[in-house]
This record gives sequence, C-alpha cells and structure tokens, in this order.
Amino acid sequence: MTDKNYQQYIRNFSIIAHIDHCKSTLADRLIEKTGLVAQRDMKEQFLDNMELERERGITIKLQTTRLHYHSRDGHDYELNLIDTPGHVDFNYEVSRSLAACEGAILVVDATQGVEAQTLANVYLALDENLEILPVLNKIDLPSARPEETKQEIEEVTGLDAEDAPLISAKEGIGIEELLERIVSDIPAPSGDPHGKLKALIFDSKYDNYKGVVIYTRVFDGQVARGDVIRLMNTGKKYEVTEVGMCVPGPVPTDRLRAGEVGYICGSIKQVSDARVGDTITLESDPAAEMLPGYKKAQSMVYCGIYPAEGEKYENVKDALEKLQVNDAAFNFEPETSTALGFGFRCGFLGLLHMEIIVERLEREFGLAVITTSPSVIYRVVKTDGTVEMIQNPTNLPREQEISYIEEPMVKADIMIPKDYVGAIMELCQDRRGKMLHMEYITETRVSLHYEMPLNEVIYDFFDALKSKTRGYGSLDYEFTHYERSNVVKLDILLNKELVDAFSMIVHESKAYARGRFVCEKLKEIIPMHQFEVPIQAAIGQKVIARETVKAYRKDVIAKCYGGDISRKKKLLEKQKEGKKRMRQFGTVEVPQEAFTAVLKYDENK
Amino acid sequence: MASPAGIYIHIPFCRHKCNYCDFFSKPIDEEYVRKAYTRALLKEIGFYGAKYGKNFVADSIFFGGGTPTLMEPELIDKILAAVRKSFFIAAGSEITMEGNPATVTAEKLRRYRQSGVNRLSIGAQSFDDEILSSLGRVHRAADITRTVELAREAGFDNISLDLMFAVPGQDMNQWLDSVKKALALKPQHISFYSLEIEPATVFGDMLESGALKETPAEVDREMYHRALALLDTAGFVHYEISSAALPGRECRHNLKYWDLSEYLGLGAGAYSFIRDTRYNNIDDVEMYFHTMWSQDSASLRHCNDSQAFASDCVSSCSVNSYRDSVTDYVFTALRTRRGVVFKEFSHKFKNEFWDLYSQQQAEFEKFVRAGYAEYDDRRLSLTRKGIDIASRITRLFM
Repeated sequence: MTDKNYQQYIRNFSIIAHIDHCKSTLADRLIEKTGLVAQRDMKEQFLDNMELERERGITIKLQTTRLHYHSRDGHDYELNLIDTPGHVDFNYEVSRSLAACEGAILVVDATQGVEAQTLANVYLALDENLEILPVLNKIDLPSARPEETKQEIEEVTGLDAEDAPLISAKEGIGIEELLERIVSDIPAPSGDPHGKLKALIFDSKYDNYKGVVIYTRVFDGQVARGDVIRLMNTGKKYEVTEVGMCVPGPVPTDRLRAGEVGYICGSIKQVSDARVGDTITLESDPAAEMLPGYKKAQSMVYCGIYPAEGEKYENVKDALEKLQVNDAAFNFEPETSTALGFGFRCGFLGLLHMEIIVERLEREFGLAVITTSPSVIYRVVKTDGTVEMIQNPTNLPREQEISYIEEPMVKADIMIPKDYVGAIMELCQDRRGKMLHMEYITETRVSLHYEMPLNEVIYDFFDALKSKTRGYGSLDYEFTHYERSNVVKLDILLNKELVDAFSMIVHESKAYARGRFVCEKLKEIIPMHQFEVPIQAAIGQKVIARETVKAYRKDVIAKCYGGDISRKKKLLEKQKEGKKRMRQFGTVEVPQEAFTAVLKYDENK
Repeated sequence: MASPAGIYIHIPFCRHKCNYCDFFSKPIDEEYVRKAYTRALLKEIGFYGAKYGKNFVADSIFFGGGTPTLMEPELIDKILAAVRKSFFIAAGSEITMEGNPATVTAEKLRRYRQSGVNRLSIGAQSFDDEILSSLGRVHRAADITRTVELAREAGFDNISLDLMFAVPGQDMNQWLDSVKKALALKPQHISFYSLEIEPATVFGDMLESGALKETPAEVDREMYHRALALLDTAGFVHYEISSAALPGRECRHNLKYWDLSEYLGLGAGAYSFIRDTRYNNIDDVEMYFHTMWSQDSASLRHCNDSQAFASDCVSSCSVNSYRDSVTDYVFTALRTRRGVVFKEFSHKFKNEFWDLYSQQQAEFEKFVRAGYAEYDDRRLSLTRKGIDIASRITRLFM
C-alpha cells in the first residue's frame, strides 16, 4: 500500500446526540457489528467505562475505539469512533473531539425530534467543517415519526435528511446500513504523512503504569516511539515511550501517521500537562503553527470541599490530587473556614462537573466530604479602583470597600415543546433572565434565548427546567461577559454566630426568599439542643429571616430494669452513631446533610 | 467486695395482656400450667444451686411478671424454700412480689407473707376507671384501695404502687388526682412511668394506624414534674428517674440494676447479670419447660460459665468487655439521684472517671452550665431538669 493510499480506508467520526438519545447504545452496536468484542463480553455501553457514567447514563470521559469493517465494496476499512461527552458542562471537550474527525453521525430520536443539545453540537460540528450524517434512532418505537423528524432536522439544521438511515440502536436495526453510509458519506482523511508533525490532543487520561495517555489525531507527519515531542501550548517536551491504536484497549504500533487516531505515552505526570486541544509536534522538526481552537480550561463554578467529621484532611487532599491528574478541567487549592476547618476551594466547569467530582470522592475514594454552596466568580471593583475576583463568598471585601460588583453572564439556549413556553419564560424571568429572542423551530418546538446570570443557572436551573417541561426541555449555555449587578452576601447565623460555610452571594431581589428558605430548611434539619437555637439569615448587620429550633423537651427512658439494660443501652449507642455525622459550630451541632439540603432550592415550597 | 446479689423470678402469666405491655407474658390462667412452671423453676433453681451453692449471697428476691399474684401461695412457698435451700439468702432480705389488684385475696396475701414475701409492688397504674380500661387493665380503682388494705391486714408494711402517666386521653387533673389518691393510701414507695408506646403492642398498632395520639412531650414532662412536686411534699425521696420512696424504703432489688450488682434471673424470659456476663432465658414457656426437664444437672455443674450460660435454655448471652461494663455503669448510674460515684467508679474500673472521659468533659460542662447536670469531686448526676433529656446526656458517655 502506498503512503497516500492508506488514508483512503480510514474514516474518523464522532457520534453527536442529545444526552438521552442512546448514543452510547449505538456505539455498542457498532462495536458489536464489526466484531470487535464478542457479544457475550458486551457490557451495556461499552465506551462509558466509569461506574458513575454508567449509573447516570451520561458520558463524561471520552473513549476512542477503532472498528474494523469489511465493506460491501470489498475493501477493509478502519473506522475510528471518537465518542463524545454529552453534557453542557463539557462543550469544549466535545468540540476538540469533533475537531479530530472528518465527519459526525447526528443521532436524532425519532420520537422526540431535535433537542437544544443536539443543535448546539451540530453547530460545533459545522464549525469544524465536518460532514454530518443524520440518523434517526428509536425507529422501532410505535411513537417514532420519522418523516416529521426528517423535516424537522432539515428545517432546524439545514442538513439534508432525506436519506437519513433509520435505525434502532437498542434493537440493532439498520446498523449495517449505517456502517456503509459512514464509509460512503464521510470523507477520508487527508494530510501529508511527510509533513511536519501536527497532532491534536482530544483526550487524555492517567494510567498508573504509563503516566498520562494522550489520545490524539495526527493531521500531518508521523510520530513514533523514541521521538521527542513538544506540546506547543505548554511548551513541554517528552520522549515518546509508546504509540498505539485504541481497539479500544491499547495496542502498541510502530508509529501513527497523518490521518490516524491513536494514543501516545511519554511519562507525563499530570493530565493538565497534556491539555485537550493542544498540538503535538516534533521537537527536532517542529510545525510552524499550532492547530486552532485551543482553550485553557476555565472553572466557572467554585465550591468548598471539606473533610467531614472524622475524615482526614490528607486523605481528601490525596484523592483530589488523583482526580486532578485525570481531569484537566478540575482544580483546587487549600482554604480554611472557621466553621469547617481546613479544606479546599475547588473549581469546576459547571454544577454537573462538581456533582460528579463529589460523588467520585465519596464512591471511589470512600471519603465523607462536606461541600459548601457553589459560587460563580464575581468581579469586585473596590472603592480604591482595584479589582478582585472573588469565588468564595467569605472573601468578599467589606461593604464600605466595594464600589460595585459584576457577575458573570451567560447566553442560555433553551429548547422546549411549545406548551411549556409560558412556564419556562416565567422560570427564566424569575432567574433574572433577559430574553434575547425566541423562535419557533417547528410548529411545536420553540427555542428560547436568554441572557442570564450564571449564578442563577448553577443552583438548580437545569433541574427546574426538566421538571417544568416533564423532561423535554434542554439547555445549553456559554459565558459571555461580566455585568454590574446588585448582589449581596447572605450570611447564616446559628445561635448568633456566623457559619461561614453557609454564606452565599445572591442577588438582592432573591435574598429574602433565599434567606427564609435556608432558615426553614435548617430548622427542619438541626436537632434540638439543650437551649433554643436561633437561626438567622442576615445581610450585613440586618437580619432578614429568622427561625428557632426549640430546646429539648424529652429524651429519656422511663423504665430500665434487668432485661432492658442491654437493649436500651444499645439504642443509645445507635443514636450516638447517627450523631457522628454532625458538625459542631460553636455550641450548635449541625448534621452534615444540612450543607447539601440548603443547596436544593425548591421555589415551589 | 462483692456486694450481695439479687434473685429475679419471672412469672410470665396474666389474665389479660395489657394494651401497652411488651414484656414477656402470656394470657394463661390455668393452675396446671402454674404447677408445671413451678416444677421447671425448681429444677432451674437446683441447677444454679448446684453451680453456685451457698457462695451465692443474695439479699433481695423479686417475683416479677406477668402477674406473680396469679400464683397459688403454696407454689410461691415451694419456690422460696428451694431458693433458700440452694443459695445463701441473707437475713432481712427484701422479698418483693409484683401483684395485680384484681388477683389477690386476704388469704393469698397472708400466705405469701407467711412464706417470707415482705414487699408488695402493686400495679395500680391509675385511679381513674376510664384510664384503667383504656390501658386494658383488669382491675378498677376500688380494687387498688382494697388490695392495699388487705395487704396491710396481712402484715405487709412495705408497699409500692406503680402509676402511669402520659396515657393517651389522660389529662393533667386525672393524673395528679391519681398521684394524690396513691399518696393517700400511704405507700412506702411509688414508681411512676411515662407510658412508652412500643411496637407490636395494642397501643403500638393503634399509634401506627392513627387511632391513638401520643401525649405531647411538653405535657408529658409537666405531668412528671408536677407529680415530683407532690411526692416531695409527701416526704418521698426521688431516688431514680421513675422511682420515689420514703427514706430507707428504696427498692433494694431494683437498685442492683442500677449499680452493676449481680442478679440471677430464673424462669422463662428472665435476665441475668453474673460475672460480667449478661444472658437471658428463652422467652417461650414451652421451650423453657422442655429444656428444664431435659437438662441434666451434672452437665451444668461441669461446664464453665459461658458454656453454662449458653445452655439450651439461654437465648442470648454476652460477656461484658471492660468498655461495656464502664458504659453499663454510667448508663444505669445516671438514672439514679446518687449518680456516678467517682470513688466507687475507680474502685470498680481501676481508672479515674475523668481520665476515661477526658474528651467528654468539655461537652458535659455545657450541660452543667445549662443546669441539666451537676458534679463535684465526689460524684456526678443529673438534675431534675436534666432527667428530661437523660438519654441525650448519657449518650455522651456511651
């Protein structure tokens, strides 16, 4: 095979789809059909390899795999499937995965139609000049309406959906047809195997034995074991210890050539050193310019993570370090709270990202942690003209020192069935959203575009959207700018003492409702003490809400004779066990669940 | 300094099971069953007599139930004779019998007294007939008065009355009226229990179905403290959470439960605490019969303690660790007015109380400052206010 020829038999593609659209199931079917994994070894959703992903049904980390397909045209093809994460928090990762491809399969649920997330990804794919192949999934369901869906795809995306393959990933219908279409519709890679090396990092993960494993797409040139590579953004150099293909397990090869997808190892210690989007070149013969599209990971949401009672600070630190090694978008630094002691301020892409990290700490590392209210980064302009970026409410300067505060704004794209427009407009208004425009995508589907403070999006906007639209609403958002805003710091005082871990920055118009909510919630959760415990919400010196936990009235065993002693003592011991997960603030004990409970803001209550 | 032990004898029979009762008792009122049960008891007494003999010194015997006064006097006589024969029963021992006012006669009481029973604990519960019937008691208020009078005539000069408050439907006046009527009968001892509704009782089921409403905690506590005030005025010493007595008339047997003394439990479902081991007999009358009759006394004599305790008749058994004993002691001692006595504690446990509980001291002080507990260099105890949250404070030391 001549040098140029091999590219003809490669197809690099992604699957883009809305989170709920069984994207991973389709990936499974493709793997199964091409005989990569014996059917009996198939686990559901093969490429989602984290337990948590499987459980939540979402893809966080990408997995890449090479499929070997013998086409009806008689040739053998190498199909590189690059799976993508499916949530709004991971848009950048999606865009880099797409950049590694020539084409994408757009999976649309034939029962539900086009969703906001789908649309956002279509735009991402179009930005990367990908050939997009629309596919209608769930065609086996009686509620599937393929003709309407095709029409909707054409109206909304402008793509030609006339010949879109009709499939059912779940039932394995139409998979072979789809494979043929991948071969025929998606362009083969081009690129000069003899040029200067330019390879895109589209994912990386940490391996205990190999260090960081970089997943890459070679655009020009080639890379082999022993080469010294340079990562063009970070400028760091590494000697390549191994290159190979992902099938999906690593299979070492001599080299990776232009057009190919595979992995590179080079004793790299941290995932953040091999940032997604960076360009790999050869130290000895570097490319003149890097591939476009690189973005530094930017944390949008911050919260404090503290060891829970009885948990060691060092253990939490170790675990956070291990997570960071594998997650370039996650960062942390030490901080202290008067209420919670030593802990960490952690930065995340979004709320989901945060929840995932916290769950992983608990599940994979078996750690008990307390998280404080999530916060966005506020831009505080002080009276002396200096500017401070504040991501921990506790660090907000004193009121007298603040000239004004700016908060981050996002552009939120919401797609909903038209019946819910009223409810969602109300929701957005309540969240201080400003409507930019609204359009009917089809007769029944509406796209709403809002400018909204990120602060309002991170609490539970997505949950509220889902519940108000019975699951049909979808959301996509991106940061746009900072805007001056009337936000205040809301403090919570227990027994007249400020508990810094509960402090949050909220818009003035929300402060009363939120203060009341937190007080009520804490009243439910804080157990009775030997004295009355006033719970107050305050802005500065001004108390805006108050509740009281009454003092103990009765906690006594009336009868205790011979046979009762063991049984009743055990009862006390058990009650004591339950008390272990309490935090002591001054004289007040607060159950750990209080910290998460105050985050779940249910405005209907 | 082994203090004398107590002997508890369980009589698991009742005419009728009360609505709140979760003790081991059966509504069986048949003479032949009582006779058979007595035979089994005598056999068990024989076993332990053979095992411990006269080295087992007791100064209290307590017939609890169930309704011990259902037992024919000759059966009680036989049991007491066997106990005296098998163990060393100190002169002047307290021998208590629990009784239901509806089950006694002058004749019965006189004969119990003749057998050596010298203390009668009467399950009065209330002097309000409506409350009594809602509790499922078989007696009426008039029966209580009659029983006390008959007991006095029979020669009993140490009488205790049990009362119950926070009964659903009971108001403050009904309760205080009961306390006053009880005091008017001049008993030496009064126990007063806040009704605890347990699952798998008639009340428990009613509570679950919503047919019953628990008395609010505030009312419960007010009933408690107002009763205490009446008892104070009558010269009673409030010596344990739910017990008060005229000076010197504290129940010697019950005090053993609260100061880690040993007690030997005999009969079905009876609990024992001997040589740091807590165990209890099977709470099934037939199984108890069966195991007692098939037991060979030689086998019991030859095995060591834990094996003996793990015999067929024993349904659960655990040996106290050092920590268990310490927490048992604190748990029970805090029920009493006397509280934890530091000298006694260090003697028993070879450690100073505050050395073992140095971590808890600061937290405990908070209760002291709030008036819930008190301590000096000799002892530590709860105040009356602290009793309301006794469990809460006790948990500190668990």
